[in-house]
Amino acid sequence: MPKGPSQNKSSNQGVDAPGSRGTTRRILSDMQREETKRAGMQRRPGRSSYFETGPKDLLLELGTEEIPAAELDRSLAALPKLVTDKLSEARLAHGDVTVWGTPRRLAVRVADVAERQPDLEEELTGPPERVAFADGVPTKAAEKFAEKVGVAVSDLVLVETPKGRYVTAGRVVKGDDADAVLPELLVSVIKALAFRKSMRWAERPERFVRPLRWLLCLLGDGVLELEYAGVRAADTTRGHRFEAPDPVRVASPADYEAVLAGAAVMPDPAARRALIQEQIAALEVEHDAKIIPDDRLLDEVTNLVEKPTAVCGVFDESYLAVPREVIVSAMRGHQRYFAMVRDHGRLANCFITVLGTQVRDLDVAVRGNQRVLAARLADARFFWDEDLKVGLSEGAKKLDKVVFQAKLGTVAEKVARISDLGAALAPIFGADADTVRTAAGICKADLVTHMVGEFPDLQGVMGHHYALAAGEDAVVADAIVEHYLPKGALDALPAGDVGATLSVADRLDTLVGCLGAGLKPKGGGDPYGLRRAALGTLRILLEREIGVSLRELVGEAAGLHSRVTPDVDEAVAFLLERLRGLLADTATAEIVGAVMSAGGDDPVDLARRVAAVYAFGRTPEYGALATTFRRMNILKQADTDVGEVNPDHFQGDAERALYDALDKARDRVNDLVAERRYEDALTVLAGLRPPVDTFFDDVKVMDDDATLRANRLALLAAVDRLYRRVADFKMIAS
Amino acid sequence: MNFQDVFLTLQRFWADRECLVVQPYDLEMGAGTFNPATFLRSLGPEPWRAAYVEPSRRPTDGRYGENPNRLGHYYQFQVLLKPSPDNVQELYLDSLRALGIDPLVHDLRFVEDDWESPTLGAWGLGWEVWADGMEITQFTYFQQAGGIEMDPVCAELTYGLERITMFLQGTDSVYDLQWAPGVTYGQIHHQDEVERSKYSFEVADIDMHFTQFDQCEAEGRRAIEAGCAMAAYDCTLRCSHLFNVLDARGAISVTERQRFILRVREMAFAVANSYLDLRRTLNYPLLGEEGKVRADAERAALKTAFEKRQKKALKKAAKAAAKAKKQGSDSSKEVPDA
Repeated sequence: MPKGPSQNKSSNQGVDAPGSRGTTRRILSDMQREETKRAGMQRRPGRSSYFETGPKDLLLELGTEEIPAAELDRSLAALPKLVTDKLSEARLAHGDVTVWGTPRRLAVRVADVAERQPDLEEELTGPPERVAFADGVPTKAAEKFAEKVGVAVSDLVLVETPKGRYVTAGRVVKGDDADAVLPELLVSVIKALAFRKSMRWAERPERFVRPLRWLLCLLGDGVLELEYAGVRAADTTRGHRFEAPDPVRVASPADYEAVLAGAAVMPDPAARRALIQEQIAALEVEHDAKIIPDDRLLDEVTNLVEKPTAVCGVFDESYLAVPREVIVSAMRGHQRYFAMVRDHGRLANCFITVLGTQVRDLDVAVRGNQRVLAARLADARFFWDEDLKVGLSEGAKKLDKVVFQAKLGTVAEKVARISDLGAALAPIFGADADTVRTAAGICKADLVTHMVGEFPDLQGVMGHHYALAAGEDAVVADAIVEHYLPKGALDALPAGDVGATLSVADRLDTLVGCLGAGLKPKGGGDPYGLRRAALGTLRILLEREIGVSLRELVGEAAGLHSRVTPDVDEAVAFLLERLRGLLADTATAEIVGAVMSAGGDDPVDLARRVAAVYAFGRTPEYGALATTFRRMNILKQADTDVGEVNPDHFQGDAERALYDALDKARDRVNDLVAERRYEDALTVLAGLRPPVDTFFDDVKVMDDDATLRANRLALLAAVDRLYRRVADFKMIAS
Repeated sequence: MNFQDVFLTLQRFWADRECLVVQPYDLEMGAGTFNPATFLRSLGPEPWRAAYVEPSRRPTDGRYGENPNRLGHYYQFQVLLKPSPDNVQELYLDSLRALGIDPLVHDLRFVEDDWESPTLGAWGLGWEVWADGMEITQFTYFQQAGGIEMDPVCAELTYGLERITMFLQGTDSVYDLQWAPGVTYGQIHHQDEVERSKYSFEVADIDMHFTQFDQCEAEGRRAIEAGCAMAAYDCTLRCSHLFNVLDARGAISVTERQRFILRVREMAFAVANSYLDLRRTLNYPLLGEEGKVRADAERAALKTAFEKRQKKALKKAAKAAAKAKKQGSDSSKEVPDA
């Protein structure tokens, strides 16, 4: 419907468009626009009809082959800003923006897009005065500039700028009609849509999330002529792939949702989600069971259909003997089914799935889905039964046939090493060494089970179940799951002491062994997960506040490797490098660098020092101290060995005063550091500032006399050494 | 519809749509993608449309004939369309209709599934096609094979013949499928499954398989150096299968798997590049065939464009490799992985 004129919401009036260098632009005031209108510059011939003036709604629909669920969510989130940014850039005022999306379409409607861009008054800067004028007469350069801008030479104006006087010229750039600007603008929107994974198809050079098959593009009631990836825009969309396969006409942007509703498509994801929830709720009542709430799955299935039809299927109760994780994993991961519970959370033998087509007989589709699930569960039960027949400890014996890594031997050898290492580490983790050995012996045994072969993400979880089935202690069974934690940077850490011990032992063994075998990760690649192993180890030590020397830990692990001779320094350095990254999240990279370069290899201690320096850095004393630290950089000019301080060589009070203050502070600082009271130590250290400052003010450090110079540097070095009990502050201040 | 009618129907259907009906390859392979009619023909600018049945072996999927849905040896129906037609989804759905699968009776869905064959250095984007929740086809737009960018892009359709037939016949066990009137799939294949499963899981000589892997790998390298790409590809296929048997036998740990995959991939890369060189030397014979004759100019332009892109891709790869190398030596730039 044509809208009346002057409903412009002017939402982006006054937004500066980016101009080229040397150009300033501003939008004409209304008064100026009135003037240009009177001058007959506003309308193009043949565009005087009342009905065609005023803002119009804009609709763009990208018809595609099935878009992955997550990509659809991301695109819908990005689309509004992308469109409004481009419209602002193009100085086209507009109203509200609405987006829709289904697996087969991405759509956006912008209400009340201005009929044309407002005119622009530009001021262009030309050559400097000395180039443009010779003896007050315009030069060739001035003429050329005037010609370029389209004004007479006499209209050029001289303007004072910070760089001198320059010639400028003003001109009015007429705004274009929206329908002339929009096609290119919309193509740039399509191109700007970013996907995690995009693809090419046929012989097209363009990339998109999936092949683009149709474009619907309307401005008001008319088709906006645009083309992308060989597809020309039209005024038709397509309905449901099977239920309404023929192209359907959309007469105007306002009709979009209604037209699709008539073609078995619900373009609004929120509406689809709500309908699915409604359907699920009805099925829950009907089948007297509740789904296990799963928002991510709900989001996903919402994006898998153009119009949902939820149905409930059942499976044979006998499958419930298989562990719950397996059944849920088979339903959710493979089939996108909602698992259901009844009777106080007991898994129920039914599921809900969401169909994408309103098929003629729902029972046919339900029976098909039941058959698929039954097959998967039969497979899982086969694995479960077979694995139980073998048993976990019997399975562990097969690990000598499984290569862990060519240079590091079999998994059985690894298990023997982590058993020894775990037993050695047990005391500091507060774990019982024998229990650690028992758990270590079977912690990798589920790797040779059928179930883990089929569901690799259940490694550890299955070990837990099989251990319990074999009558193992719950502590041992828990340790099997937990020794795989943390799996990622944000993943939970082992809760039990035995699990934590095994997790660290396993990670250290992998890390030290692989580095020893020359398998250091390169660039983005880390096929053996060494960075992850290092980070996991450090996170566990930090969280449990287990203060221990990394060198000792690595030494212990390295000693157990017989096939390679690991380089302890390399492994310690690798761990410290990860620690640097980990601690940087708690403070700043500078502070972490300052603390770490002052030495130490106990992650917990280093973390405390970082925390103390970080806290200290936010106190008022710190600012003044920074200057003092900066002055210490004079030490860089000194020879590496400056020798001992000799008080006999002191020439004035300042030297003596610093020497005495240092002497007094030293014992205090050492005591506090020994007690790990780093913040208090820093307070004592901060107290050294006045004598240090006086020293720098009164004493010439780099004296011509070599003896005096050496003695003064030695005194400063002694101060620096004391500071470095906590951190090398020179690194922060410089 | 009998099992044999399913693949006969599909052959007829695709033959009527300008596909060459080619034949299975004569070496063990895990999927129809490994057939040179897909892996090698997908490379380069020449158009190609082929359809064929591929007997496929996946030793780890063997279940001693006890599982109604899993087989260590099964059949795929493979279609490769290069360039991918604009109506490829419709063509595919028509093929299902030809099999009697009506999308208004059964719930058909295209569910995201990014396909990757690490051993072939190939990947693509597409879907698994579900019929009432059962995956019946893998539908992929190849983006890369043998580490080489696809240009043009092909569409690969891989039908699971047993699954589709089970779906059509409504049977719960693959062994109950009617292969032909009066003959079941079980009568033909059950015994094989039992024996092959036992062999892959219990009997296969691990040392022999490791040794043969090394030997085939070395032989493949020799073949490449001698300019025998096809022979080298045969070695690659053998390595791939030996690896699969070792995997089923539980002889390769998760950690080691990656390294073996990389070894096969390196062979596949070398073969792909060498094959492409050969086609270029032959001036891409298929560019002019079967009513697809392009004007000389267009053909030349296509070739140049392709080679230009190829060069650019190589340059980019070299640059990336150099960058990775540089980053590898600069540990401060390493990003901890999640």
